[in-house]
Formats: sequence, C-alpha cells, structure tokens
Amino acid sequence: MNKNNENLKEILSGFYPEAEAAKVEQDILAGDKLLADNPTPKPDTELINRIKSRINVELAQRQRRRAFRYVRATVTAAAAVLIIGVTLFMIQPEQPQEQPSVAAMTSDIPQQIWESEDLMNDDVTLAMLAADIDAVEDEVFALRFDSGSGETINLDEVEIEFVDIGDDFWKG
Amino acid sequence: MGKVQSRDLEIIISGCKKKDAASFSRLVDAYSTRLYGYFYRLCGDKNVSDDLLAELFVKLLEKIDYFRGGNFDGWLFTVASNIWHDRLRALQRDDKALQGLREELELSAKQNRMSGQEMRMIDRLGKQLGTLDEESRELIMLRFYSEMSFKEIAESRKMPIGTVLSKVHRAMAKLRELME
Repeated sequence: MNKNNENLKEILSGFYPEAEAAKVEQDILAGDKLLADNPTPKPDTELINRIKSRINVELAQRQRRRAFRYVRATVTAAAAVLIIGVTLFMIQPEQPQEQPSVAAMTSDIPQQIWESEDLMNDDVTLAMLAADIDAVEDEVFALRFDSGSGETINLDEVEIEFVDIGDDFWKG
Repeated sequence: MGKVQSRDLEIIISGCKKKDAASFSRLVDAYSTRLYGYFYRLCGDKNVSDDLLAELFVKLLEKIDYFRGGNFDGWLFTVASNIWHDRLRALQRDDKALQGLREELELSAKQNRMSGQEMRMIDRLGKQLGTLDEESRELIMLRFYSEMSFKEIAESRKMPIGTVLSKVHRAMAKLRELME
C-alpha cells in the first residue's frame, strides 16, 4: 500500500499486461518521487494568520446576520399575527340580532310593550289606562240602557272623555 | 501540521459545521500546506496560490455543510479543484481582454503576453509541469497532494479509472524524461 492507500500493482494488472504494468508502475513511482524531491514553498505564517482572522471576521458577520434575520423573522411573524387578528376581527360577520319589527321601531311605544305577552303586568300605566277605559265603557253602557241610577250624566261629555282617553293612549 | 487522525478529523469537521472558529483554525493548520502545494504546482505563482488558499477556506465556511461523510481529503481537494477551474476561466477571460488591448497598442506578443505558466513557474519542476496538458497536470497534483487513490480520483472526476491511469502514467513518464 502506498500513501494513496492503494495497491498499485494490483490495479495496473487489471489494465496492462504484466511486463507493461511493471513499467507503468515504475514510471508512476518515479514521478511521485520527483514531486516529493521538489517540494513547493510552504504558506507563510502571515498568510495563515490572515486566513484565520478573515475566517473569524466572516463567522462574526454571519452570526450578526443570523441574529438580525432571527429578530426580523420574529418581528415579521408577530406583525403578521397581529394583522391577521385585526383583520379577522374587522371582517367577522356580525352576530345575528333580533331585529325589532317595523311597527315597533317607528312607534313611540316601547318595544317590550309590543312584544309583551301580558300587557297588564308589563306596563302599569297602560293597565291603569285600560282600567279607565273599561270603567268609562261601563258607564256608557249603563247610560245607554238606563240602568236607573237617577243621576243625570251628559252622555256627550262622557263620550268626549272617552275619546280623549283613547287619544292619550295612542299618544303614549 | 501533519495528516490528522480520522477521529480528530471528525471532531474538527463537526466543529466546523457548527461554525466554530477554533475548529476552522485547526482545519487550516491541518490542510494548508498540502492545499498550498496543490495550488502552487497548478499555477506556479505564490501570490495566486495565497489568494486561492484564502478563497478556499472562506468558501469552506459554507461548503462544509455539504460534506456528507466519506473521504474528506478527496472532497476537500475537489472543492480546491473547482476553485482552481474558476480561477482558470477568469484568467482566460483576462487574457482575452489583455489580448485585445495589446492589439490596440500594437505591442509585441513576446513582450506583453502574460503567458501565465512561463511567468509563474519559478522552479525547474514547475517549468516542466507547465509543458504538460492542463488535465494531466491536475490529475498528477490531485493524486500527489490529495493522496486520493486512482479509484477515488476517477470517481471524483467522473472518468473511467483506465483513462486516469493512462493519463497519469503518460504525464509522469514525460515529466521524468524532461527532468532527466
């Protein structure tokens, strides 16, 4: 085995006849010796130091660039998350809300009154007004059929009062 | 520094991949002499060899990540060979540019031709190496400095081993004859 970690004789025998292989081997080994006997100059210590310091500078620069890239990537990612979050918040569909009916929206009467299942309990004023109307109606009814109370009541006045109460009711 | 032991080399390479300055420093110590000899024998110029060696180690800062195991010396000298070929191409471009300039100035080719090899070969062997064709010279240098086997050289250069053997043999025989 030579320094090239190979058996030259064996390799050559695969390509040349035996006699020629020996000659080829001899030429190659003589060439190797020629090169070994004529060494090249060695690199200067100054060159080696210069190369090492350049490597150090390059490594430091790369480290700085890597740190900068890391910070930039982090900031970009955070900004992206923020932008996506804000965008999603802005464009998200509004929660479906129960729209009040047109009548409820345009009326002075509060919405809960329109939607109430039990007016008497939900609106005391309305309940009192309704009671008044009922009372007036009873009175009108009694007068019409002459219930025999003996009191003289002006029917027109009662009717006017009835109309007023009705108006007040619709005015709210 | 002589040839490093394989275990040490593994540690150095691993350190280099982690971009450790001390590991690169050890790599420079371990390989600079052989690589410098390789470049010097190819170009025959000390300044160019200095440049090529520095360029190689700076490129290794990146390239080391691509080393996936195997024969590191072979891999390293293949990188060195690529750097040399890049330089050769650049020199050829410069030569063309210089040639055009020379024609303009009507200066004699003898005076001005920066015939690389003649100018650069400063020792006798270097001069004789300059007479060999580029490929054969490089194969000899690769074999001598990288210490790769013929088989490894053939694989690295994507050439049949028989062709490598034949080229190296012819070049060595010629060199021997010239030097006698």
